[in-house]
Amino acid sequence: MSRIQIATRREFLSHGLGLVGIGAAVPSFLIQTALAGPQAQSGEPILVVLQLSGGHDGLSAVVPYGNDDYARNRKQTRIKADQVLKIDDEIGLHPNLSGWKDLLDAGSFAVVQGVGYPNANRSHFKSMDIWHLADNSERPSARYGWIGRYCDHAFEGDPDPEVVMSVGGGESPRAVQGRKHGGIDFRGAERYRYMVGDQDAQLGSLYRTLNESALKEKPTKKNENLDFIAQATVNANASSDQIRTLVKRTANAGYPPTGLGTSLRTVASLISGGLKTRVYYVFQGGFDTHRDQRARHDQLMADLNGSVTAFQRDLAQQGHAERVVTMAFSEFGRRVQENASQGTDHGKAGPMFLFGPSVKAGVHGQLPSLAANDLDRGDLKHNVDFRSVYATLLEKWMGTESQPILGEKFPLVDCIG
Amino acid sequence: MRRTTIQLRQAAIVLAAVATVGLAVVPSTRSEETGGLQPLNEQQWNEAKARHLLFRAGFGNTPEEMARLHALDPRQAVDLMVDFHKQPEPKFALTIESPRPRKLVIDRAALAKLKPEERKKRLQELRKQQGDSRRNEREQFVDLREWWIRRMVESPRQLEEKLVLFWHGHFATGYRTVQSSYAMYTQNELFRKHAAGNFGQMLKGIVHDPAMLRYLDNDKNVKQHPNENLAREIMELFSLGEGNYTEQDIKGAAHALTGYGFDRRSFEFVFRANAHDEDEKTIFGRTGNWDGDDLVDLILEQPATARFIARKLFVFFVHEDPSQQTVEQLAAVLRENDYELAPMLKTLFLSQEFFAPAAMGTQIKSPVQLVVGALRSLNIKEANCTALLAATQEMGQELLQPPNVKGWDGGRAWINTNTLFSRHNFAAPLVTPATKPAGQRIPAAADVDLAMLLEDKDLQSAADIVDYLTEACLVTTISDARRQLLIELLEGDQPLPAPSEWKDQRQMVNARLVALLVAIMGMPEYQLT
Repeated sequence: MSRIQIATRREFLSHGLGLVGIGAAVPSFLIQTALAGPQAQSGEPILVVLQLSGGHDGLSAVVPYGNDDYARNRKQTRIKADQVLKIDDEIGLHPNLSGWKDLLDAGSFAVVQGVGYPNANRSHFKSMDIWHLADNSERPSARYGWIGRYCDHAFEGDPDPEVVMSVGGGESPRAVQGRKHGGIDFRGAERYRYMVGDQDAQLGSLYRTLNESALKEKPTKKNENLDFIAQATVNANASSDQIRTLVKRTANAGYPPTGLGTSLRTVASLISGGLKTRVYYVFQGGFDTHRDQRARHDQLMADLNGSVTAFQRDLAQQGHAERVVTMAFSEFGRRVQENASQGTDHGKAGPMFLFGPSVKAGVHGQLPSLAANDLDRGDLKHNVDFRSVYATLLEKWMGTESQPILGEKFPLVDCIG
Repeated sequence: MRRTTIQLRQAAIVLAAVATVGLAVVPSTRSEETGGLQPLNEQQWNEAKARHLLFRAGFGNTPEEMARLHALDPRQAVDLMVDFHKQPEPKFALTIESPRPRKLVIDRAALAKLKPEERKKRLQELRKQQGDSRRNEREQFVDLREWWIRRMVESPRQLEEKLVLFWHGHFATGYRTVQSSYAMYTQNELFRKHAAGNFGQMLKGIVHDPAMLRYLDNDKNVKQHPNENLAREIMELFSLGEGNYTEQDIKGAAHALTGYGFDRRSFEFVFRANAHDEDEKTIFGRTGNWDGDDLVDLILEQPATARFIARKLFVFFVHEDPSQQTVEQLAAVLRENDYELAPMLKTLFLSQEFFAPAAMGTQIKSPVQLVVGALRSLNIKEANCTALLAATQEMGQELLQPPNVKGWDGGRAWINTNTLFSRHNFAAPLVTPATKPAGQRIPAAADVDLAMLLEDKDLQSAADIVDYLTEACLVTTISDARRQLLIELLEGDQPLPAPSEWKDQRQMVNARLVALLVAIMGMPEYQLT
C-alpha cells in the first residue's frame, strides 16, 4: 500500500499541504514543508465530527420535562420544568445549553431524536465500533471506518493525508481509518514537531532521509508495519510546520480553556488557514455517568455549550460558518430508569446534534416513548438509524453518494439545507 | 493505620513454582509452513532468535546478553525466561501506606461549643490534616509508578514484569477512579503473584480486588439494586469474550457478585452478607445460589475462557493474527494444566510460530516497551523514572491509567502522526541535554555516557560502532545504503579516534556517538520489536 503512495508522490507534492520539493542541495527524496501560504480551496463543505465518549444521557440534554415517565424514572437525576430552556411544550434544553438555544433560535442548531441501530449493543467498545465502522456487512472494506471509506471513495487517487484530521484525541479514531487514507492526528499543535531537528539540522534532515528511504527500498522480507510507520512519519513531518504556523496566527475567541474548547479553536484556525481538510474529528469524554450524574453532566454541558458556541461564533467572524457542519454523536444513550448511585447505566437510543447555518434548524424525528411497555429492556428504542444521518451528511452536505460508503441505501433525514 | 514496607517481597511466588510441570504434548496435526506450535529445534536456533526471545519475553537486552542466551539450547533459554522465580528476588524499596486520604469530616456540634478563636484554629488544623493527607497520597502514587517502571528496567526477572504489564492491560484499572495508591499497589502485587501462575487464581483474586471493585462500581452492586458493570466486563473483557455469553448470564453474574465490596477506609476486601443476594441465579444455564467465587468457577468451565486468554497472550507476545488452530491448541494446553500459565507460555515461546517471519521484528513497540527497552539495550541502570513515565504518557500509555476498562488496543493503534513525534522526541533531550529551548520541557530519561559504555567493546572502526549499536537497538537488519548514512554521520569531517584515545576527547566522542544513537532511534525500524 505504501509503495503505491510513494509511486504517486508527485501528486502528493503538488496537491498536499502546499508542499514543494526543494533544490539539488539536499537529497531529492527529502520532503520539505513550504511555509508559504496554503492552497486555499474555499467553498468546499467541511464536516466536523464531535464524539461524546462514554454514552451520553440524551434525556438530560434534550429533556422531556413534561413527560410523567421521565419524572417517575428520574427521581435523583431529573432536570425540572422550571430549569429547562423550553423548546416546546414537551422538551427543553439543559439549563447550561443557553448558547445552543440561541443557535436554535438563529437557525443554526438541529436535534435528531431517537437515533440508534437494531440489536443495540451495550458495550462501550462494541457500540463505538459500530458507530465508527457503520457497516455490518462482510465486505472487505467493512473493517475501515466510515469516514476513511468516504475519503477512499471521494479522493480516489489522491493520497493526501490532510483530507481528514483528528484533533485532541489520544488515539486515532477507527472512523477515520481508510484503506488508503489514515489521516493526520495531533493532540496539541505546539509539540507537533521533531524536536531533534530544532537543535541539530543535520540530524533533522537525516531523520527524514532514513524514514523516506525505508519506504523506497524493496527489502527481501515484506514488513507491513515498517512501511506503515515510515509512511506515517513522512505524513507527520509534511504537516507539522504548516499546522503550527496556522494555529499560532489566531487569538482566542472566547473558547473555554478545556480540551474540547482548545480542539475546536484549533480546528477553526486550520479552516481559516485554508487547509483542504474536509473532515475534522474532535472529542469530549466523561459521559459514562454511572454515579453522581447530575454534577458531572452539568459540567459537561457547560463545556459543550461554551466550546461549540465559541466555535460557531469564531467561524462566523472568519466568514466560514456557511461551509461547516458539526455533528455530535455518542455510542449509546443511557437507561431510562436511573440506578441507585444517582447515576444511569448503559442504554440504547439517544439524540444526535447538528450545528451550523446550513442545517435545517429544529427538532427532527420523534422522542421514543418512555412508557415501560415501549422500552427495550429498560432502554429507548430507536426511530432513526444513525446511518440515515451519515447518509444525509454524505449526500446532502459532502456531495457524494452514500451507498458505496455505507454498503446499503438508508432513508435520508431532512436536516440539511 | 496499616503500614507495609516492602524491602524484600516475602510472599514467594508459590503458584509460579508449578511452572516445572513438563511441556504438554502438542497435537501433531499441524503441518503448516510456520510449523505451528511444534518446538524449535537446535539447528534453527541462532542469535537473532535469542534476541527475539529477549525482546518479547522481556523488554530487551544487550548484544552480550543475547550471546549468553544463544549459548543455551532453545529449551533451556525458554525455561530460563519462564521459570523466572528461580532467579533471586529483586529488591526495590517502596513504602506504601493505607488508607487513602480521609474526607474532611467536621463535627459541627462539637465545633459550635468552642469559642470563635478556638473554632477557627480547629478548622485550620482539620484542613491542614486533609491537605497533608492528600499530598501524601499524591506523592505515594508517584512513588508507586516509579517503583514499577524501575522494576521493568532493572529486574532480571524480565518475563515477570512483562506479564504484570500484560495483566494490567487485561484487567485494566485506572487510578483516577480508584483514588488509592494502596489499592493500585495491592492489585499490582496480585498480578505479580500470579503472573505466570494460575489464571483461575488470578480471576478469583480479581473479584476480591478492592481496586477493581471500585473501578467497576461493584461496591454499589447490592441485591436491592444490582449494578452490572463488573459482571459484564468480567465476561466481555476478562474471560469469555464478546459473543460467548448472554444478557441473562450477565444478570445472573451481577447477582452473584452482590455484596462483594471493600472497606472504604482500609481498602481491604469486605463481603457484605446483608447486601448479597442469596436467591438462586442462573448463569450459563446452570441454576444455584452462586456467589462471586462460584461465578469464577463457572467461567473457568467454559471452553471460551481458555481460548480467549490463549488468544490474547498470543497476540501480546507473537503477532495479531493467530490461526484458529493455534488458539485451540494453546487453549488445550491451558485447560490440560488447570489454567496454569507457565506450561502454555513455554509451548508458546518455544514454538516455530513464535520465531516465524510473520512474528520476528513485526510488532509495534508499546510506549513502555520502547522506553524501557531503550535503557536495557544499552545497559543503562541510572534511569530518571519521572522522565520515563512522562515519555510513555506523551506516547499514549499512562501506567496505572489505561484509557478505559478495555485497556490499550496495542499494535497500530499506538501509531498516529502525533504519537510518532512523541516517540521520536524521546531522543531529543539526548542531543543537547544542557540547553532547553522554549517549548521543550522533556527531561532526559538518563545521562548516557556512550563512550564509557562502548570503549571496552573492541570496536575498532565507525562501522563496528554502527553495527554494534544497530544490533543493540534494532531487531531487523538495515540495508547497506542506510548503514552507510549512519557511518557517514559518525565519521563526520574527520575519522573517529580509536577507543584507546577516547579518554582525552570524551566530550567530542560522546557528542558524535549520541548523534548516532538519536539517528537510530528516529528510524522506523526502532519502533518495531
